[in-house]
Amino acid sequence: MNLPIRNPQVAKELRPLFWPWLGTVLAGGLLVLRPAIGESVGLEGLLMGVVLYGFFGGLALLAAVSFGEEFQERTLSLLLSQPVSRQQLWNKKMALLSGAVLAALAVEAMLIGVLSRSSVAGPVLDSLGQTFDKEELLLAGVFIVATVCTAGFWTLASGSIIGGLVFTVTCESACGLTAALIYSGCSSPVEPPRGSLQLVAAMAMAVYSIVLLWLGRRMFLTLQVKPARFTSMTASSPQGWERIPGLQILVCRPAAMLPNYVRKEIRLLKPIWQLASVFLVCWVGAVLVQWLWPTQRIAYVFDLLTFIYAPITCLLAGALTLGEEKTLGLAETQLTLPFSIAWQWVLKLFTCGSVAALLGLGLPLALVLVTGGWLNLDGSSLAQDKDNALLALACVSGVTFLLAFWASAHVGNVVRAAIVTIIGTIVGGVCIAQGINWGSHGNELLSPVLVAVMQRLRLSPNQMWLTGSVAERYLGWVMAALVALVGLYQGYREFRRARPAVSKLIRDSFVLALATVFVSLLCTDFVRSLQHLVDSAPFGELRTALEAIARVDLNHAGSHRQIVPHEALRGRVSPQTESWLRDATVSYEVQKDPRFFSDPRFSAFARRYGLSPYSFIARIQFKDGSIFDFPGGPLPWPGEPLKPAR
Amino acid sequence: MLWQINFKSGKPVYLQVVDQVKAAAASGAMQAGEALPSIRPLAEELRVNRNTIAKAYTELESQGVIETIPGKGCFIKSNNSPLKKEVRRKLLIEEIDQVIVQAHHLQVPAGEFLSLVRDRLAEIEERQRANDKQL
Amino acid sequence: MSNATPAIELVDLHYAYGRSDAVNGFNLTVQPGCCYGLFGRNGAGKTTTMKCLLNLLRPQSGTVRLFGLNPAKQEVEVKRRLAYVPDAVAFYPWMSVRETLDYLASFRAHWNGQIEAELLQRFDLDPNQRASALSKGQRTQVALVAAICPEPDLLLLDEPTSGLDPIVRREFIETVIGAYQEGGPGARTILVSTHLISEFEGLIDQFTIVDHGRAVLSLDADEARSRYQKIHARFSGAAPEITLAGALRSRRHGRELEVIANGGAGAIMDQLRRLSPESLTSESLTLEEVFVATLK
Repeated sequence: MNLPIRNPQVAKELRPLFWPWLGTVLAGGLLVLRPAIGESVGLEGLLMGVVLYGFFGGLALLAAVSFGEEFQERTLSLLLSQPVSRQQLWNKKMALLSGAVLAALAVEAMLIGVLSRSSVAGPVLDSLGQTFDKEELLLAGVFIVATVCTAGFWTLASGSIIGGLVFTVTCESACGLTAALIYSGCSSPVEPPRGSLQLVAAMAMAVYSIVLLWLGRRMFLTLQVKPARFTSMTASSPQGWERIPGLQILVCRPAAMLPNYVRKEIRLLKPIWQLASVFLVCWVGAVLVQWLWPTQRIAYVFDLLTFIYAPITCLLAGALTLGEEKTLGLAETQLTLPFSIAWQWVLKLFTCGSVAALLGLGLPLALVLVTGGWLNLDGSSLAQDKDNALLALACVSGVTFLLAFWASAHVGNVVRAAIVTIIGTIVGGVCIAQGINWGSHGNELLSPVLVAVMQRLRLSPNQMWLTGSVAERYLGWVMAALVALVGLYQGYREFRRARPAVSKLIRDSFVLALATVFVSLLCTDFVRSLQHLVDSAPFGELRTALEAIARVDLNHAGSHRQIVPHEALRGRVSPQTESWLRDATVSYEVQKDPRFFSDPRFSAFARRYGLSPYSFIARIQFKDGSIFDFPGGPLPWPGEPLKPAR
Repeated sequence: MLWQINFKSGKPVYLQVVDQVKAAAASGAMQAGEALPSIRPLAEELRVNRNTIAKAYTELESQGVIETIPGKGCFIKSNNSPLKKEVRRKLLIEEIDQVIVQAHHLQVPAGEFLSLVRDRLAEIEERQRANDKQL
Repeated sequence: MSNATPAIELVDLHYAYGRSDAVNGFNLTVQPGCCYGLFGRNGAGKTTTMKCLLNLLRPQSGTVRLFGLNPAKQEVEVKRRLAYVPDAVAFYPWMSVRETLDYLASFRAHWNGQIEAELLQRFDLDPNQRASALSKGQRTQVALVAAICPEPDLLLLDEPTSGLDPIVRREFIETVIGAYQEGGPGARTILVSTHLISEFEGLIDQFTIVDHGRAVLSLDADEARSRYQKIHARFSGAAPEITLAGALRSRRHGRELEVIANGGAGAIMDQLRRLSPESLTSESLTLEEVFVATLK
């Protein structure tokens, strides 16, 4: 796409920033959905996670792309051989990056401002106001500034966009966190207020960003363009790495095809192993801090580390191997090997998934268990599994992994796959929310199905609800698995082709989005239909029929139950309801409200408003002995016309 | 005319061009007043450095084989060169000396050498006559 | 001409990637107006040298001067006077040919649009085609157009024709001769680093053979061709075993003797003639054969 910008140099800088910028703005915009998902806390936590993750991660990606694009496209030699000073290039890049970040923030501010004029405003602004206080906003602001300032250094140092992204985010977080920990440790035994902790973190990050900004500029000015073999993240390995004990198993042998393939996949995932070791180091550091200052409650640090680390690991696990192979030019060669492509796909999925599960989820959980046995981890929602934290983490990680896997088949390199995954998670969240919305407020589409099942199988509503609640629990999983299978099939098709096309990406994501909406709609509808089973047709028919029968003879009100023979129902209810009730016994009991007969004023009032003292409760006793009672409604006074059923 | 550069001959490229022009002029393949290709197209055709061709043309002009008319190009000069006869003789003597040394190297005795010269003269004259007849 | 500032001057250049030396005491002088060839095997240090010229790599020691200027200190000034065609041409894939040329033109004060139009037509390039859709030859052609249009004083070509089909290779050389050299005869300098020597044979005025980061041989092209001779002699009996002074290499095979001489061809011929061979011929070595003879 062509941006209508005159200056070709500015256009060339801005073009690769467009999609990450859009993703960031969309992630921030999801804030609007917050009131729509107000009910379930878990989902709201998820949404806020996606918003924060997408917004701040997107900004970091934006910063990394602005410097790393040259590495990606290998145009560094061409750019640096032009008669333009490096200082100018640096200034230009920093200016445009800052402009893009400010534009994103401005759009968010506008969004919130626009919202304040609409009806959706109240809840959103309230929630914003109550969640974020001044220090937190300052911290967020400094975080953004630090991202912009330090991304240049890290992208140049690591030589790739993904490396720059990961290092930028982790290092500035680590910097702020360490400062806060040291501060809280130094001011023991009294734990300082949260606000001042955040202030300290912000100050530390500010200093850190200034230092790294200067370092980054120097690095750019003295950058050397080494040969292209150093630009791939995974390609370089120190000489003689095979001699490290234990790594021998990773060296490919001549005879074994399947193990070699697995070995190759594991080796391509090298950055994840590196990330895992960084995580381990940070964890150990936090444990040390907690041990040295036992009075400080820093259990939340472990949560923070895990919630940042796990999704990133899963995203990388999904996107890395195929993306790197495409960058290195090996993807097509792999397809020409005499090894079934379907098997390659399955093996890749299995290996990367296992690594993701092991390192992304298994490692943090193991660490939590080990640490929990040794330290007091109150306050850590992982350790105590508050709000289903573990489940939420596992879901988010799993979805990220599968989406990244799907994305890497559709686009040409790791960075694009990461961007597509982030945008995809957001779109997926929107689709699910919309599906739930439609399901909750629309017609109960599944009601006839449930009714038919009930009638055919002659089940009581209790049985329906019993089975239904079990089904509910698993329905979500089954549906999600179906959508995942659709996605995997699409990915497999693109994997075969090995030449990504944007049109296919759009078409497949459209299909996947529709499937997600449909599935969430279906699930919500199922739950709702089940809940409102009592309002469905058979019950309505039964009520009408019983009302007609009962009003005839109101004398035995308050006395024993009247059993209704089947013949009496024939003609009054539909054949399906009749067959449903064939083995069941229908009875009703008429009740009389005493106030009508004892209190003349009440009875006059009641007569004026047409209220009836009589009502009946219907009962169905099924073959297996279960009894189901449901209110039938009011019965009209004798002689008065039937009021329409409510 | 067909230009050929032989990198194996050991002779500098510009000299080869000079010699080919001179041979063409002498054998009648190029007539007096005929235009030579301009420097750029010839350099491109032979895939030879432009400066080499320029040097060759300069050499030819200094030897009086061609003349440059500004705006029009380079043309073969008629055989009545402005150089004095002695200079022409001297040039020819240089060439003859070289050939004699070659003959010695190739172990061709003097008598055979002379008869060869006579044969070659006869043949070139015959060729020139044939060319003139064609025109 | 030797009083003029050399276009390129490298004195004792050293560059190492980690522990392996890529350029190891390399000396080079290129006069303006010259077409200089840098020949070497793969990994000899040609590309590294070029990158040191452009300040893409910083040498550990040695001086680099272009037009008397230091590319590390007066970077922009130096780059204004040269243009570079890299060995792996990469463009931003979303740009069209037109956009790429406009983008590269925006860096230059001077850009000859007429030459650009001529060359685009000659190479039959569609200005609206995406850079990602170009073939390797077309990419090199676009890079060449972008290098010629600003009419620089120095053209740096790094392995420009490797991997291209014969027609594109010929057109490339013709364009360098025609569009580039024609513009400023005597003032336009070319430094071409390549291992496809036979193609550039006619273009090269002077050359240097690089091996393991060192200059092994620096000569005029014509002089090299006259100095290096291959002498072939056939004898009636078995070829004699004699040591020939000034012979670079000699090979005996039955009745035939082949000698490669560096400079002393005449003396060797006389020596061999005394042994009365059946036939005795000599021919010059092409630059590629000089290269092989020097390095093997």
